[in-house]
Amino acid sequence: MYYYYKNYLELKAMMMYKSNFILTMFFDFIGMLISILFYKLIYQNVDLSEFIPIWQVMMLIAIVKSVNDLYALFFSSNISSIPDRICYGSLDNILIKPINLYFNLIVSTLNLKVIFNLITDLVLFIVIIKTYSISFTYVTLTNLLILIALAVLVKASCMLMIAIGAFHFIKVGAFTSLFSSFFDLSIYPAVIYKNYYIIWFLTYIIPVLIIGNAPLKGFIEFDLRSTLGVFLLTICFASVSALLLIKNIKYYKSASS
Amino acid sequence: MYYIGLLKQTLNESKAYRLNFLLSFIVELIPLLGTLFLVKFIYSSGSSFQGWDYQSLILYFIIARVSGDIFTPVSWWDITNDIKYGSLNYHLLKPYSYFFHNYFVIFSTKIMYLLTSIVVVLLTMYLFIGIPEIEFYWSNLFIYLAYFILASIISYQMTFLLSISAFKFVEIEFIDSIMTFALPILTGVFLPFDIYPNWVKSILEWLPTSFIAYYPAKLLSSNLFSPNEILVIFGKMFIWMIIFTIVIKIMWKKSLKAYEGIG
Repeated sequence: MYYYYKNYLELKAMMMYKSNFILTMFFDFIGMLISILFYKLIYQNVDLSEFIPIWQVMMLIAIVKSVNDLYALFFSSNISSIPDRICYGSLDNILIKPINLYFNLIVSTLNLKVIFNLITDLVLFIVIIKTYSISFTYVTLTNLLILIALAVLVKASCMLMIAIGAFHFIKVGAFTSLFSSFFDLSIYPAVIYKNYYIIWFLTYIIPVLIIGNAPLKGFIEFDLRSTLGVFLLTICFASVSALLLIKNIKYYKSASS
Repeated sequence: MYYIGLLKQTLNESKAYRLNFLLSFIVELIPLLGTLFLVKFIYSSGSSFQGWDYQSLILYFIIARVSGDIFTPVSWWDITNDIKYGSLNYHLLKPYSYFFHNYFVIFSTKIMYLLTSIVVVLLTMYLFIGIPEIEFYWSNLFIYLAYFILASIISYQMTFLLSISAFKFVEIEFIDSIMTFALPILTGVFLPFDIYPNWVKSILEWLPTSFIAYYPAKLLSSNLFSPNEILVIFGKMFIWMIIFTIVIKIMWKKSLKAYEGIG
């Protein structure tokens, strides 16, 4: 109940700034259009359809956008506040609450501003499927949804690992920007990376290919082994981030007690 | 003499932010790597963009990004704060031009940014195209220098215009937000104009934003311009400089009348 009221009050407060709300939606929409324009222009000049059909690139854009929006809805406001809480010694406000630490620290506050972005994502998926007459089965659709959920968790785990760095470094803003800029690469199809080491790096170290390309592959063709692989990778990233949090929390110094 | 002193002082001051400049450049460069890999993939699969070879296109994207970082107009916080918090009169009472004072501050900071990012730029070029084969003529050096001086003036005029809009609007962050999306397309950082349909290309080439990344990147990445075309580019630059000078003079005069100083 506490969390319901907490997020309900935030929604009410947010509705006071309606124009800000609309502007956020507008800029989100423009950002998406620019990515679509980029590929449309490339495909108008160069025929790449035998390597990657245009509908797959459009789906990739929609998938990456929905992963980013879901991450923003559930995790971003919580995880981005962790470094400041550690720096200014206010993390114990969360630690002393009689609720699960991870839940409280990572998902307790929803960023309700992005709810409307999720609606645009859904519209985008429908438009792409209709425009390119994409055929799919319930199995591939379910697989896509599962892989999107796993991609969100992988991204959250990575960003949490960076935020945990604040236990040792005063400011981790630069690292966060650096890491986030890698995730900007997720709108590019995996086929462009021919080097094995680059693919390995972008899968296991900074899982850029898990964010967009893995769900796309799962939507094109259901492959249980691939889905299980992404699932295992998600568990690995989540476990490492949880372990790092527990191991590093002893370095925290409170400013309020 | 004052401006040279200011240039030296700002250069020294901005040395302290070398690591910050380098990191922010790397953050900008990483998403560009996706485009470079895409170009590499396109050319290795046997396709190509009309009028562009692989080396020129890779060079174009890298130079456009660097040039965009240096010349992209922004609302400069020093100017907007002077206007918002009423500290502009401090400068107005001094025997120097406020316009040129900020020009030297901005471009000495950008020079330091360029110097710190050059290693990463060269490394990226080397990774994608090895040592580029470019025919170099000393006469071109004069053209490049003249171009960069004129481009820096036009870019600064746009920055100044954006910044003095703070006289009209209390908060101008929304202008920056719009620019974040529009400028990469209008400047040529996003894609070279040649890739757009012809009618779009003709419009974009006439906009003052084309001098920020499209022309410098195309000038440096390939010898695609004939002497006549270069003269036309310089002509366009002069026309825009004159237009901006007139607009700035009118806006500055009008805005100063409405300005209220503090202190």
